[in-house]
Amino acid sequence: MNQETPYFQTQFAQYRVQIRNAEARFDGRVLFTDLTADVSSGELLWIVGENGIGKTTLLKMLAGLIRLPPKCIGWYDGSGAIRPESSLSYQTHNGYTKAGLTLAEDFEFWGRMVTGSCPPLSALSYVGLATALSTKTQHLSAGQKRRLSLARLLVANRPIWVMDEPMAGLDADGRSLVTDIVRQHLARGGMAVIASHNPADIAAERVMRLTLGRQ
Amino acid sequence: MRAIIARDIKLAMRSGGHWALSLIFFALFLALCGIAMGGQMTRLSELSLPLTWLAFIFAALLSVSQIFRGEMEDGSLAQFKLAGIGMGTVSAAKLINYALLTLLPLVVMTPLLSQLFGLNGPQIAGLIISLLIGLPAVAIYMGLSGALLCGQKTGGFLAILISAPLMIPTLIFGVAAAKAFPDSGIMAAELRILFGLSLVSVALGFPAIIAALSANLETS
Amino acid sequence: MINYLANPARFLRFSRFAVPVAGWGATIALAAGLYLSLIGSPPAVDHGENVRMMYVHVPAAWCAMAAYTGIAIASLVSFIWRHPVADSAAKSLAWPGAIFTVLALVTGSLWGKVAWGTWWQWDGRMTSVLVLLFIYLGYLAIWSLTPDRRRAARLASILGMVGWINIPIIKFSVEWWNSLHQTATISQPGTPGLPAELLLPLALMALGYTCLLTWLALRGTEADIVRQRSERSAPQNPAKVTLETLS
Repeated sequence: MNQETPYFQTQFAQYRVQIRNAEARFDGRVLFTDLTADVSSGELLWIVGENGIGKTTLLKMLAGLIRLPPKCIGWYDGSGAIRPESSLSYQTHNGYTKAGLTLAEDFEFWGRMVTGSCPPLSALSYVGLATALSTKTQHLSAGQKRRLSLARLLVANRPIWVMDEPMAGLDADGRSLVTDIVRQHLARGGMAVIASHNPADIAAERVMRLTLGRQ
Repeated sequence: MRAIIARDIKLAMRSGGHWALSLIFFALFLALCGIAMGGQMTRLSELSLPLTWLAFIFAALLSVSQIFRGEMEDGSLAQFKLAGIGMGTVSAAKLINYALLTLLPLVVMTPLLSQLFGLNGPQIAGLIISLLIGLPAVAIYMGLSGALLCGQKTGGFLAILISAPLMIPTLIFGVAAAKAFPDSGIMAAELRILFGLSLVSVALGFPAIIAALSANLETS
Repeated sequence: MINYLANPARFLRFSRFAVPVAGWGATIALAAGLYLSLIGSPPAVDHGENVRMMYVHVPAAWCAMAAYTGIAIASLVSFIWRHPVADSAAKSLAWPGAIFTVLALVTGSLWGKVAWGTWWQWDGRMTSVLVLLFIYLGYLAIWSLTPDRRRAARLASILGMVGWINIPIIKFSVEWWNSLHQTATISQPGTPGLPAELLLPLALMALGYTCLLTWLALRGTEADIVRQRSERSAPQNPAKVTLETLS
């Protein structure tokens, strides 16, 4: 499990994100205000907080899915401001599998969408799904969907990972797989922002924890 | 775009005949019309063109919510955006699928069902040509309510309320074109106007669909 | 003008001045117009007393269309510049517009009963107004059934613009379709070339209706701005944000 895999060969360029006085609302309710943070390549940001406090909203804001006032969240690479879409993978908390497709088909579809070519099925064996290739996605367990999401992250090969509860529903083996993959991602200059109830111990250039708490 | 279309066709084939529901509704509606009219062929053949067009529009309305809601609900729409695939590509793919899997089967069924009303060859040809020419307008306006309502659970009825008024010109000229075809042929003025309506609806409705999808996505 | 009114505070200052103007304008014009149209003006030569229906019908139809045009303009402003006041204005125009549409339909139908002998005729104008009512209902439904305010505003602005561009197309289609089966021209409430003693009450009524529509829309917009402001200032409990570096 711990050997270096073909998915981790390249070194990523420098990226950073500036969050300045971000404020989030959901259906008129203010979730949080004055959120300021900086994350750069090689760094890991944990986002912790109870259910419904706004973790997922913050992740969507970071992924550029929610429209924000200008200068609230800025993504930059070495040469200037960028749009995050092309360099970011967002792992949602429930996966986004289409009922009716088999696991391999769903994996191949999204691999093609993101990279433009057929993704290597070996990524599925790497995350421990070799035996479930022809299972329909609606019959996958929560843990298997998590593992599928991990395989997608690997083949998408993007420098910024935004992950929503990546450990939920996973067994001990799966949790160590996640920490291992994230550690290797960080080691090659990737960035990770992870919302989680129980942050694991992952070494990185810098590890930060952002807590959203009731006052 | 081809990959999305191929995936949706595969899903439709595996859905256990879900795609055939509108088709069954179409046939049932026309059969009920025949029964309600007392089964008199002379009266029926006169009314068959408007009834078929109505049945076509209502059958199309039945599956409006399926055009975009699935992609919105399971988060695929957001992932398409992150994969760098524009909402234009996604909506074009979904609309082509809707036209291929829902609307086209209805048109294909039409010659068979028109036997219920005793239509002759030129009348059937006119009906089919008018349906085919009006099809883009139907797909676009159905797609518009599908895109406007894809972010909420309820809304089947709302789709009718939004789409139906916009469908009125297409309905008027669709029926008129079908009527005019046996006499005036393919160059009938009604057919040309119907074609124009389809073009206008695409030019107007397609950007609106893209805007509605983005609006639903960025406020979710 | 648009940019000036885009600021809610400035809009409220403007409407504090404009609301009484519109309100008194509506009261005076409607009072004078109603007196002139119902009592002060002579019956028309070919319609008799029935012509008085015109004074309530034509301005209602005009306001129904004007309100939707207002919605379309506000939608465009809201869509491009995302001004929240434009959303409030579009939303506040929708209910009065729908009610004026119903009024136009009801008075038109009453006219139809005396002029044509039936409550309803598939006449081009009547049919277009009926379709306009359905468009209004769809627009109102989007506003009331979409949960999130920002999303509702955005979706409603898209539908408002699409609906507005479609109205002339619908009108053209309906009139073309109408010309197929009606060769004889039917007398309409509101024929051109009216004598002056009929025109003055009609103009007064139109002015009064327009002032009333303006007044309703301004009041609605004010109320909407204030409601949103109070929602924003309601006790909120945002999460406390703490950022720490672990290693």
